[in-house]
Amino acid sequence: MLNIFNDIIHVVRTFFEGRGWPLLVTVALILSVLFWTCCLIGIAIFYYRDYRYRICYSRIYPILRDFIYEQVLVKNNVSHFPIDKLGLNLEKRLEVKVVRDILHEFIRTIGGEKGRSMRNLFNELGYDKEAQYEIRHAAKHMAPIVRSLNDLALMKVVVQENVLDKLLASPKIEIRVAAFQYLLQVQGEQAFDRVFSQLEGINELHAVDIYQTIVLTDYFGTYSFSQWLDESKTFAANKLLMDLMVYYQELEASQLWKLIVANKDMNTIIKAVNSLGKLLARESEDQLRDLYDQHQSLHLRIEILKAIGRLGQGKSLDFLANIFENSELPVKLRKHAYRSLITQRPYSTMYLRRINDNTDAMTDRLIRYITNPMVHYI
Amino acid sequence: MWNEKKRILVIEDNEILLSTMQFVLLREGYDLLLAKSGKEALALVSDETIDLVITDLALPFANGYEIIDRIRKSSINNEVPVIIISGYRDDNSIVEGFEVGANDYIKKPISPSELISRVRLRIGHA
Amino acid sequence: MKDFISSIEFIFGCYCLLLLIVYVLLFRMSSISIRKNLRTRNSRSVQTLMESEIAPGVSIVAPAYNESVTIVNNVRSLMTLFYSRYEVVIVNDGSKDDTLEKLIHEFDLVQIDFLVDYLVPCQEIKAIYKSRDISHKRLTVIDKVNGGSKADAVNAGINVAAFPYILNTDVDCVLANDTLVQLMEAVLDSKERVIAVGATLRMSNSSYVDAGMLVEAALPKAILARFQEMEYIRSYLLGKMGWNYLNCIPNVSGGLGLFDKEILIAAGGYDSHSLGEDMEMVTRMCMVMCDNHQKYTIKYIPQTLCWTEGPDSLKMLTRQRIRWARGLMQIMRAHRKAFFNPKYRQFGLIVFPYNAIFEFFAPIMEILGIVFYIYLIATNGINWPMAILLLIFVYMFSVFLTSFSILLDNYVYKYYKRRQDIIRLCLTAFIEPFVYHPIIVYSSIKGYIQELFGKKHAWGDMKRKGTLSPEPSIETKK
Repeated sequence: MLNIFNDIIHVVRTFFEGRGWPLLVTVALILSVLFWTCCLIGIAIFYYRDYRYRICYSRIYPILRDFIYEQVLVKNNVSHFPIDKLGLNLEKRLEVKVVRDILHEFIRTIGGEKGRSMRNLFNELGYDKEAQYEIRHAAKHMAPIVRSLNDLALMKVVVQENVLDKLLASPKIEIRVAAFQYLLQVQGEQAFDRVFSQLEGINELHAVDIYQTIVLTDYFGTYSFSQWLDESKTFAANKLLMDLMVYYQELEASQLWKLIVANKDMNTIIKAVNSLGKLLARESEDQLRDLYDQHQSLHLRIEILKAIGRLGQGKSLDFLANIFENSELPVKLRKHAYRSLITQRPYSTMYLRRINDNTDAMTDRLIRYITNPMVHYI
Repeated sequence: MWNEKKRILVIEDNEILLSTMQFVLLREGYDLLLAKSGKEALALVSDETIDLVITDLALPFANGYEIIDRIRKSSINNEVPVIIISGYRDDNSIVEGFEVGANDYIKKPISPSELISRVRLRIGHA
Repeated sequence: MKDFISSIEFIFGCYCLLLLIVYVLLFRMSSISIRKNLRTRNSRSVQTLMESEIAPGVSIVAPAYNESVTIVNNVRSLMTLFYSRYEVVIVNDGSKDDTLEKLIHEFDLVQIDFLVDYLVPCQEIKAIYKSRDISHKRLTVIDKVNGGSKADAVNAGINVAAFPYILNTDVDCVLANDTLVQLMEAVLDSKERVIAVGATLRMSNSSYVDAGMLVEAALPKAILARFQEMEYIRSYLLGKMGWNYLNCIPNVSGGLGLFDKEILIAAGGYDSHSLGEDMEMVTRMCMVMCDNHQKYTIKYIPQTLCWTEGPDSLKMLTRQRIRWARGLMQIMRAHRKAFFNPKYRQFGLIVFPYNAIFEFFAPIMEILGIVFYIYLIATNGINWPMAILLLIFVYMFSVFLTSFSILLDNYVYKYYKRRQDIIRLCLTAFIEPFVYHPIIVYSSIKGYIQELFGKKHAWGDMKRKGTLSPEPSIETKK
């Protein structure tokens, strides 16, 4: 074994002491030239692809626009559009892409009944079939599956349950989130249980996507988002649920407090406190004061003061006044304490009067800064 | 008596939305002025007599709030009704729009029939 | 003697081989990183975050010093970015011209009473201005005593900023309308805390800019600016996007960088004495996270979101590069404890050593290499065929790397509408090694020497020309 090893070393040494290096460098040089050539060809291909797209777009856009105006806006057609009149060749991939992009833009800008007619047009142009095929056969490729799910949601087309189950079980989070968005747009409230029970792995951007999908639908109800709050869930998942609770004004203070008490993640606690404030959970005022004493985090303390400002019923005026009058505390904390006093008028009128009568020059400046109507963000 | 057509200034940088609103409003018989940016809009607002303004909020050069503010401060168009069309759905954007002087706020995507109704509410038929 | 020369050859050989391996790895990693970014980007709508009321707030902090020529248009363009929740904090850093007066007049500003916590050190804030117009409610102008550096001015902005994220930019930079959306998407699209995000910068020299808005990007006509454009494309798309794959970004540019304010403040804010304040800041932010045993990510996105006016005279360019070189040396010296220190994880084990060995030492190795070459020639010790072969290979490899960066740039987006711009850029790659690269090496060495001998850096005044307004291309006119 050792002999073989020695032989290999000897061969390698001989190679490099002889013609080895020049040969290697020559090969590297040829490869560099080859790759450089490929780069130039690649640049030319990208340039040409973009050029073709722009030419195709500028050709198809006026045709499609005039068709939509005539059929949808003037003749008020809802379905069974005379697609043949368009004269498009939807066998070509480029035309399919361009038409999809243009229709997406129109559907994004035109709402109401006309928007629904536009979606039907999208369907009748064959995008339904294409999308259904892609979600079954695109294997692991994320982009076509996500795009197809978006298209199917736009067209409000039903996808078979077994296909949906597969997508919801996909290892790629982007596909799962696209499936959530599809379900929420097509099934509405019926999809809530299914979606919220599978939120593991989402990040804050996915949470924003799901949130926007729900609030942009016509959903208006009393679904209990808070039932899904759980300290074992990630911050992003809990944040999504809390944002929805706030948007739909679902006041479930006990669930939020459970999350605050059980959670070690400061971001979750801060978000829960923020939600209590926005939901006007008035009975939480005392507990919030206790929470203030339990934690040192400046960010959390500011959030507690803001929440008290929103939901306070006059029980925390001494607390707020003491914070404001303590010049050792950070300015930001004092600002929010004063702001919260202002929002609790008339309970706080006497406190504010007392503070204003007993200020020094610096505190006076601070008060004028906080109360200046031109200062919107502090 | 010579009845002039009602004139609407439409300010929108999205090509598709602008041309759709143009089509719908022209069909209703209104006279239109179009602007694709805050800069173009500011020039038109100070020079031309307008009966109604429809504006987006997110615009290049000067946002919708500034345009509405200028309209309210202009000498010839300060009482012109203003309709905001925007994708911003948060309370702050809506409240700010009204504070600056807008009369109406429509969230995107826009229903053409709703747009016409709201325009007629403000300035009547063309 | 022969052994000594062999050893020198061996050292240079290893260095070059390692550098080659690094570039090949960056080549692979940047492609994957960019493809991943584009896949995510193409599968979502930019409108979602732009119009969402739960999008996190951002404070744009832009220092201004003697920017009278362009200040109004530039501030206007910052105030019209497409994002629902942000403010613009302009820091007038003791300008000697009428920068402040122009702002006051244009935006109807009035001085307000204020009290500021100096969370990070900066010179005294003399006044804060807000607008009486509700339409300009997101604008805040700070007037402060000049601190001698941009870092000091940015710190003042951080002290006043209200939102949890800071976008640090120069007031003369032209930003894309969706800058805040793109950067915040990168922040939110992560399981770990993102403490900084950067994006590609390009030159606005020769681009068509109207009232602070980019109408059409064009390749700079001036050769120096063109070299810089090419260098930026290579540095961002090949370099930074490659490091992005490993979460090993060495620097987020001060021209455009989004930062987590809490971490900025915890790290002590920008260092006004540093000549490379942006890289120094990122270094300290990484170290603070590691010192507190917290996971973090720094991200880069390949899209060009910022166009900036680059120095177009040799004097200004060398001055800038001397400053950068001195800044790098300061960072190496001040934070040397991070070198191969496992406590600082990827920052200590990869980023810092890479910067030290392949960024800091590279110009030194080049000069020594040239000296060695000359020595070998003088002593008839050179193997001419091999030497020429090597030179040709190194040259072609550098041309290939630049061309690959241009390819990546076109893959991301076609920024140049004119075909001749792309062709000229590709051709510039051929002359860069002979013309531009020696200037950079010279500036770096000069910077190191100045830093070693403690010479005071002369900032100079970069004369703002505003951007040219050449006729847009025929396609745009149509």
